[in-house]
Amino acid sequence: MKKFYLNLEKLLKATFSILILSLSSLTHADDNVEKNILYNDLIKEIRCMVCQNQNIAESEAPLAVDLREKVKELIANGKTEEEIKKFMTDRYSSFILYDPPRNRQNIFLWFGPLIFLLLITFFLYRKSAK
Amino acid sequence: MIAYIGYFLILLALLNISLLVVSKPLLYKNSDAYNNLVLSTSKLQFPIILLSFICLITSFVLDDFSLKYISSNSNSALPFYYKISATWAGHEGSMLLWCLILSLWMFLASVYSKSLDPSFRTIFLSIMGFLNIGFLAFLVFTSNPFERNVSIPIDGKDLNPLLQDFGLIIHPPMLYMGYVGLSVVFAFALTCCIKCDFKKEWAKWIRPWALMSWAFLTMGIALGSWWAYYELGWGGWWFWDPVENASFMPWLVTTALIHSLIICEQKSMFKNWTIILAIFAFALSILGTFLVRSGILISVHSFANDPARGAFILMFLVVILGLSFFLYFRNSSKMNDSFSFNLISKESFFLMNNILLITATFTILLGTIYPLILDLLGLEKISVGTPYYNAVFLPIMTPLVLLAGFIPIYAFFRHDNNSNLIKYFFLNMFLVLIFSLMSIYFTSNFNLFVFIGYLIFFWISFNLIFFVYKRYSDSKSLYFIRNNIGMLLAHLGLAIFVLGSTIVENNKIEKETIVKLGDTVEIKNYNFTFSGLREFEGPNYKSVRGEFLVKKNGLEETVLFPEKRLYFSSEMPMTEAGISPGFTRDLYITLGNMISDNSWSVRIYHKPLIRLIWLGAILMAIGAVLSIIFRKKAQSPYKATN
Repeated sequence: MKKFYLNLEKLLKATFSILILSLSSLTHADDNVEKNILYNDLIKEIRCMVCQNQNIAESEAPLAVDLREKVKELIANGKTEEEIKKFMTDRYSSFILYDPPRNRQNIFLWFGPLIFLLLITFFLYRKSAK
Repeated sequence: MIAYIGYFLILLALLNISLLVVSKPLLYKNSDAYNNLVLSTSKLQFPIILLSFICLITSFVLDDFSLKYISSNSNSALPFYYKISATWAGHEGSMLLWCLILSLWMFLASVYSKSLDPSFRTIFLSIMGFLNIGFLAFLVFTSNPFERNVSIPIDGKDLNPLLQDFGLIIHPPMLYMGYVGLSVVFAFALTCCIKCDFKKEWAKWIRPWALMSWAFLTMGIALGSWWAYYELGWGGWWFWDPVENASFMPWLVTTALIHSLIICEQKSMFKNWTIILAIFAFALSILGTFLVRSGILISVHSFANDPARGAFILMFLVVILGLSFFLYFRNSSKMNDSFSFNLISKESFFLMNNILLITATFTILLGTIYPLILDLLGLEKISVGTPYYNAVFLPIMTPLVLLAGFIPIYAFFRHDNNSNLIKYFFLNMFLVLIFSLMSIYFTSNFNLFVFIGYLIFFWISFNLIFFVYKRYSDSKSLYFIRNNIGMLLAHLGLAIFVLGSTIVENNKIEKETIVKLGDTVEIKNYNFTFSGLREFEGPNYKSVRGEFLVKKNGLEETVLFPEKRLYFSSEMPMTEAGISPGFTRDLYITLGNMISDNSWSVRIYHKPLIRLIWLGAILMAIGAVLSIIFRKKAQSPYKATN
């Protein structure tokens, strides 16, 4: 199941990146700008573990300040988004990321809305056909 | 003394509304007398609670620290206007505000319900009365704002600095007007269940109430988002925080409701479905209160919580939902409801709208409570935030907003002659594509999402123009504008919101850097020069204020003053962003930490079109209000042909 999942994700990512690349090939951003964007996106996806539901971009708690520095450092060392996320979850569990892991435990979280959509559509339209 | 009067008045209000229950068995033979009693108690409730509320405000202004609630939420150094707004800044006071607003809605409902038949009206007002009893009991037994301190402190603790702000003065009353307004719709739907009937005219009567609550919810949510943007200091306008979600869920369901009510009124269909929506809309607003007040959620926005209160609200919610569904399943089959239509018809499109909105609501509910369930089961803790909603919520909303562009089709459905429909449709799509492609030229950072954003914006707005054109060419008069202006504005607001949010999320520029006095930071064609720094003292805080001279293309544009404040009452420093608002862009600076003398870490943001987010929301709310003002009073001529 997990393998199917990963393959599906890879396929979707590949399709999307081709689409986006082909559309955005007109503009090419330089390396520094891209690192800056990555930094600003990442600090919004990482949770400040000692605050009440704040990301580390928002929080001024010492931990958040440290983590921001850590993210900056990892990016400067050329780490990719996935590597930095893994670095964080390895140390602080997946609670630290606002992106819940795609695993068996969260299968209903990720697919629940789709199941709900199909069920309710089926139910309401069947009612109309009567 | 004033506080005693206030407390006495709350008890009086509870007694007054309890008359509904007590007198029912006594007056069961004399229904006229009972109807009158219900009417007068419903009207009396509002002035009583209003007086009690005024007592609480007065106690705040007079610094009566013998009250626990005041000593923990106010301070003698607090400016006058914040003393007033502190009345609803904490849990107890905001529950009193909640009860006040509930009684206000009940008062309005009793004044404007003369056209309903007397027995229906009595049941309807009694249900509102029961809700009143529930919330007043909650106030008196778990959250009494007039509770005394054992020993009177010399001074109060102070209002949470985050709440010392204009946005937070008006945000809670707006939001509560929306939440609680849904109680009118809920009570009405339940009465239909009890009466086993839902007449067309009734649908017409209830729609303005639903629209009004929706307008208040829209403004409440928009104000909350605006507040988060300028106050929390990281330039975000929506965080998918549980408390934000709690207000967004009833909004989505109410959006579905105001659409399905149109079908109820025009086609006499979807009655059962509409009743379910009304029940859920109100249930979700209570669930929101439960989640926020019980403390089972962690959120920046939840400022007061206590498990005992959570238990009470949860019980209340279970009772309300249990009774509603008992009544619904017992009586819904007896209701004269038809549910048959063509796959391509106004009914069908409105049903799709409803399905997508409900699925969106379900998604948010799932994202909000899934981590709680995992926690309860002792499984791995997770956080659900923006990445999840971007991946799951946006794909549901995209077809929904595209569907909003189908409005002109309804103009074609009015006539049998649909030969031009396909032609218009393709011409429109062609124009949308051309304009979206042209817009790429004006966009600095272009990607697929920006393109979809443009597409949606042009698709909805051009279709609105086509709608006006089609209706005008059919009727040769512009009178129809009067009836449709609300709808047109609200949908235009949606298009503008989509445009603003997509552009700002994909084209914002954010820079975090360290500056010394005299340094200049460059973003796009703007130069930010750190030109000064000084300390000063406010009424209840100390502040360091930076000065940034902003130049655009070398010409002086504006000066920004980001601040770092330390309130006397709190340890945590607060950031006050320096913002230069503008229609095309916002410039936003916050001071971080002092690195060394005169050297500070700062964040500088360039946010294009961010104002469109709130402009869109304002247009939606205005649209709703205009729909109420210009609602159809009499049957329109082509109804007969439908």
